[in-house]
Amino acid sequence: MSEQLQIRNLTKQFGGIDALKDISLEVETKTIVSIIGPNGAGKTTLFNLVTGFYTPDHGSILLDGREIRGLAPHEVARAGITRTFQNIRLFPWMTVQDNIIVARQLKCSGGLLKVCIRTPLIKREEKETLEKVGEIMAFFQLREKRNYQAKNLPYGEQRKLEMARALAAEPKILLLDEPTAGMNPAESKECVEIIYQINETLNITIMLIEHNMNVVMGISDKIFVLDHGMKIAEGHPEEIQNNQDVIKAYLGENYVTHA
Amino acid sequence: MSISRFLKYLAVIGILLVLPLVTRNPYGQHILNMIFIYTILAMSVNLVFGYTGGLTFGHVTVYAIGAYISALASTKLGFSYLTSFILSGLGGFLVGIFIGYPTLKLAGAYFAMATIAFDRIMQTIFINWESVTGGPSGITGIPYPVLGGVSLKTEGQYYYLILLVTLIVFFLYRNLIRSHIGKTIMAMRDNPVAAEAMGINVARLRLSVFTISTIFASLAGSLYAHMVKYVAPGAFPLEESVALLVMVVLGGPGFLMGPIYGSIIVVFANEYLQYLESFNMLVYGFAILLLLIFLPSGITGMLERFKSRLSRKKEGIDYIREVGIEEMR
Amino acid sequence: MFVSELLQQIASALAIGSIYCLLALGFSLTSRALNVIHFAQGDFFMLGGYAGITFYMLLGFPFWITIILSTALVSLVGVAFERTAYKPLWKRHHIFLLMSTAATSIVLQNSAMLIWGPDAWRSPKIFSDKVLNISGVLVPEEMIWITLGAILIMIFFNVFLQKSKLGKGFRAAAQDREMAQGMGVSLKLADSFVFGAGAGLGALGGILIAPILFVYPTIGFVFTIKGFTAAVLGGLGSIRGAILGGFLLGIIENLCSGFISSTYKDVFVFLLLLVILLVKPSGLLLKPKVEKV
Repeated sequence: MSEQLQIRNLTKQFGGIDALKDISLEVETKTIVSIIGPNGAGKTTLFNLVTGFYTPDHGSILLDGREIRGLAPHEVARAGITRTFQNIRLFPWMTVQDNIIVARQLKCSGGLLKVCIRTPLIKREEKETLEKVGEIMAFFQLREKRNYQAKNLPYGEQRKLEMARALAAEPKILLLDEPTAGMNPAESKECVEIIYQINETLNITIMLIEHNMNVVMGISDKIFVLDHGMKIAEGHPEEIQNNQDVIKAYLGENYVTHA
Repeated sequence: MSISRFLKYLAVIGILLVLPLVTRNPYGQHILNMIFIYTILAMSVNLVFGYTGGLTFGHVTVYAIGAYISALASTKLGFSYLTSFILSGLGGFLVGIFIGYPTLKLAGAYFAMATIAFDRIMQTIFINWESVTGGPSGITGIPYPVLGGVSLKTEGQYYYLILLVTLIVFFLYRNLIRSHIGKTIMAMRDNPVAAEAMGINVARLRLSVFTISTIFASLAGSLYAHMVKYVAPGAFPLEESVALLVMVVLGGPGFLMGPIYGSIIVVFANEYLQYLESFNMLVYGFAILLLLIFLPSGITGMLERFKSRLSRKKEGIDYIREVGIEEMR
Repeated sequence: MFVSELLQQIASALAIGSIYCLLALGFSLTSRALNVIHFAQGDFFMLGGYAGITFYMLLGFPFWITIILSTALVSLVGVAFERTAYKPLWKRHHIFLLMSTAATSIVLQNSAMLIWGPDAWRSPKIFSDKVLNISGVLVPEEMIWITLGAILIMIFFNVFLQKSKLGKGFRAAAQDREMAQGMGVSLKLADSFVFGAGAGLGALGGILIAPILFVYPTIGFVFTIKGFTAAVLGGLGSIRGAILGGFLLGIIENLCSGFISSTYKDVFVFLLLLVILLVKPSGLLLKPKVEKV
């Protein structure tokens, strides 16, 4: 299997403090990878660097061999990496359907002049968009609520909507920032199922930031552990569970997996 | 399109076509014409303020530039009306790009300041570049439009041209807002970070919308120039920008029909306010303050909320069909 | 010859510069309290000027009473607007708050026009009518007093911020609102105080300058832009920046007026503002902010 995402010697400082120091990791295509570590370890910073919201001080980020460091966030999205946010960033007053329509726009030609005149091309594109959006909503079982304002959805469905939006762009890699945060076990289980489905059926590589170890250990092909901006371990779930450094820094002495 | 909708459009167009007969006197006709011109301007300001969230005091300046371009083209350069009109549009396009590109990067207050600075600088140019702009007395003797052999000499005849342009502008504006890109524009206004993450080039989209608005404004300027047949710096004071903002806020910022309701009401109200002269601006100022505190979604917002409450009672669905800028927090 | 002209310009620049400092300082304060640029700041300046003229010239009050009354009055007007027109908009879109300050500016301008008429007024010299001749440079003594007065006010204000209990409360509220609240500082009161102080500073500038500059209703607008430019030059929100920006603007403006043209003086300030906004909006002293995602 090939390396889809290669991060090499990535470093980022904020006001003299190292948020990330010399991080290198590789993500293979169609795998599910988790980034774990204590709060402040730099996990979200890593996501922000990969998606172009921050510019690294050193290092490079290669997507399918192509350097994407320094690209603006919208260019990174177009290159094939989309994400969800730790704090939900839906468009709260827009309907479920509209949220996904907007997420789909990067796939459309969108010449403003043509839009104002409503050429046949534009009309066709909008029809195709609606069909595709319908499919996505069906996948997430949001179809019945498609005209609901996003802010009126229950929390679990808001999270699903966020994922649906990130998928509308048909990315190569999907970054999920704490997807099960605030969820009860039943919701978490459903979320894991969806993530698994996305990976298996849609063949999308997934990177997650997670604190829920059941989720992490259950679903990951590979785990990277960050602490204080540095990578302290990487490997398969079994390796990580038995890694002394990881246990000391993060998991705790009394950690037991639920198989 | 359904039959009922077609009939509704027909009725509206029919009414618009016969309006000149209602006004009868030239002054009334002039007011009618100005309402349409202001509607175009209000739509352009709504695009920037209501849909992009930028407080602009510069659209009257662009209106002035359009007016001057058309005036110069038809008087000093002897171009036909149509050419002058198109040149104004081109001017608006260039202004949009050159002024928009650097200033749209600025945050709220700084952007507003920049538009004010732009206005002041252009005013100084209008007043002092006498050889081109005619200085404080401006340019006179602008010819009436002649299109395809038809001369539009009276304001009543000119009305139909203005109506046509306004309808076309409205058509373009409405298509933009209702399209998927329109939703994207509103999403970008609400949460630019999320929009960027979804692949939307926020800076470029903002610039595109801004440029469309400046094209509309400058075309309105051309219409104005050939209607009153005379342009001077004094016709484009900063107070007009305030009036435009009142129109947009009153009508409902970020709502499709907002500028239309707003421009009609403000032009009419202005007719009565004229008796108060210096009270005019004071009333505008207070009006804005009161609107912002008590009715920030304007008339359209009120209507939409009312409609939503009705639909909730009837169908049980809880949604507001259209959302203006106020709902963003 | 050239040198004395230069010195001349610099001398009057210092006088107007010190007024700009007061304006810029007021700007920083009101912007801090509102979290948005206050478009009507220059209008407080204008009101201060008119109030000063009214009390001193028309009613014949002694100067000390004039200063106190005028400043208090304008501060109260400021706080009134803050309470009614600004604070309620806090929870709404920030652009509305901005618009509100612009609308306030219009209301103040036009009210002033109604009360005092559209013509320019000027108060007689407060301190002295003499014109000093310092080695070839003609300096009206009034200007020196004005400069001293402005500097004194700034020093006094700085001391107040650093030493007094109220001042410390201000600074706490400015830096960390939640912590200040935890310490028992009423944010609502603190904001109103800070805003009132900003308005008052603007008014003081107006009072001081009334003897040497004409006061008319629309100068508020011009001075808002200039005060803003001065504040942005030095870095909005920083006290040292306000002082640096104020004097710098005074010098730049006067040099331009003296050596290029005085009719285009204002345009030059606008251009300068545009340039700063486009090149380095964070000002000369502050570092640009990094937005956290």
